[in-house]
Amino acid sequence: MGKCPLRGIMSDALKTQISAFVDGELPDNESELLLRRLSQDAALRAQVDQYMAIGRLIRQDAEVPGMDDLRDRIAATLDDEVVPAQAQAQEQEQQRVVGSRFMTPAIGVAVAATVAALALVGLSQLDASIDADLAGAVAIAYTEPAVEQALANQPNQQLLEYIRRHGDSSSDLGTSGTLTRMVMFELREGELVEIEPDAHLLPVVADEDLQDTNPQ
Amino acid sequence: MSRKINYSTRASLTTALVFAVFSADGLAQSSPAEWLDRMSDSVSVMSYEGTVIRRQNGTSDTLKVARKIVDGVINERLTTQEGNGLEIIRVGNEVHCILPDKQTVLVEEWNNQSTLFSALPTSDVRYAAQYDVSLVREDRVAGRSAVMLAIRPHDAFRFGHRIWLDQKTAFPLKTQLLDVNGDIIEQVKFAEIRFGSKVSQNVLMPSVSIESFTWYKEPARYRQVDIDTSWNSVDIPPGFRTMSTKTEIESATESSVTHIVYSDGLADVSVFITQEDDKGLTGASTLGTSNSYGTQLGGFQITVVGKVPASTVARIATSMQQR
Repeated sequence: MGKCPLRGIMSDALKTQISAFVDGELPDNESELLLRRLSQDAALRAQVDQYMAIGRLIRQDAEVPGMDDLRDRIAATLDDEVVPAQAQAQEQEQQRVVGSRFMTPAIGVAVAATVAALALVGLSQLDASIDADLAGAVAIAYTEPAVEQALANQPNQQLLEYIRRHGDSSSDLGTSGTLTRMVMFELREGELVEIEPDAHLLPVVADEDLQDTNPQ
Repeated sequence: MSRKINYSTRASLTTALVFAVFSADGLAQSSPAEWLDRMSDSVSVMSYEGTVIRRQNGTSDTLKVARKIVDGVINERLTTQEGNGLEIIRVGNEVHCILPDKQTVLVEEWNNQSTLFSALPTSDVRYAAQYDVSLVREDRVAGRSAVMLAIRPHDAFRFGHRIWLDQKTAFPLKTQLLDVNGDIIEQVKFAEIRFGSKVSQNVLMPSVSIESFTWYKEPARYRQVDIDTSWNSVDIPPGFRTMSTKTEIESATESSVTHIVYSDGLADVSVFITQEDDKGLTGASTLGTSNSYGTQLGGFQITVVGKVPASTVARIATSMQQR
């Protein structure tokens, strides 16, 4: 596994372009160029989707209004450009990745996992701690004062580490503690050490019911 | 690594005691302290399977939880019902986080007896002078008769709790964490629960095939050494006392952090002190139900973290001094 998929490598200019597009402020000719570029670069599309997902989390929105348009137009552009031999393969891919024409399957699921883990712990504004550069990018994309304020007050990775260690010391391994740990795992994806599977989780243990202690 | 926990004997004895002692009208017959004691035993020894709904910060999650002690080893599974289908499976001290959509298993070791899903105060609260503990009323939760127990702080430096305990087993069916205004900031509630023989070993296994998954383990990030520290809060809120003082040495950098834990018997607060750098928190931050406050003093970064009101971490952080 490589580095954390949230490590963005988009240029500021592209981020600004996307932001302008989503806001409906990008000139038509630039829109066409943007769409063409995205339609031809699956990896870049995945990065953009990550970028937009993080923006949604920071805004605590379900969806950015202009995002639907962007996604639809990229899909339309893709459809226009797919040659017949590729179309069948793409259709099969789309069937596997239901509702996610915008993302490549491999990266798309990674994004979903990360975002879901973040959402689970209610850390909807955690993103600033993930990557300062990316957080800055989001601030460029969404310049509302509330976003900047939210970013300024968010925990960085050091603070998350302290929260985890506090959990270690105080036995706070409940729902919050468990899932906060999950987020820490996500953030450190690139630091993890691959190990051999542990056989005891494979389905070899015989089913043995407990002694009946049901109080009802 | 030993996954064997000496639970068998205690579990069977205590389970028997739990069911022998409890009658239907426990509210009238037992004191709050007795209920808390029984709650602790019940949480430790009971096997169960159920659906938990957790609400926090205006959002809710649904979790499937199951717990069973097999040959003295705690087996637990927690499965999210939304999002990526995250599963967390515990076998003794090993915890496996399974991410089906990433085809990944992440392994962590917990030297801790806490239950996976629990967000509970422990029975130690009865020793905490800063709280009143009282039985409030009878109620119904998850289709079962329950008694509601309230833990009310005497001041605004800590959160309050409400716990709904099963009448027959003292198992906590619902918990609430309350802020200083009495507003609920977190609720964990069983929508349905089955005890004992209803729990099959199958529900403790992964629900997806993980044979082809890639397994990872996080390397040890730090090691701890007990120390006597010269740091202390000179204006600690009433009831908090020092529980531990350690130096934590980072594996990667060999840099050290002084970690002091304060507790009032129910709420814990951690103070982290390190050399000042540009990564340190300044001012307040909130993450879930945890509040943090950071400040700088004499070239040191002081960061305080705890599931307590923001004013508590701020007061502790700004009152830290070196003797």
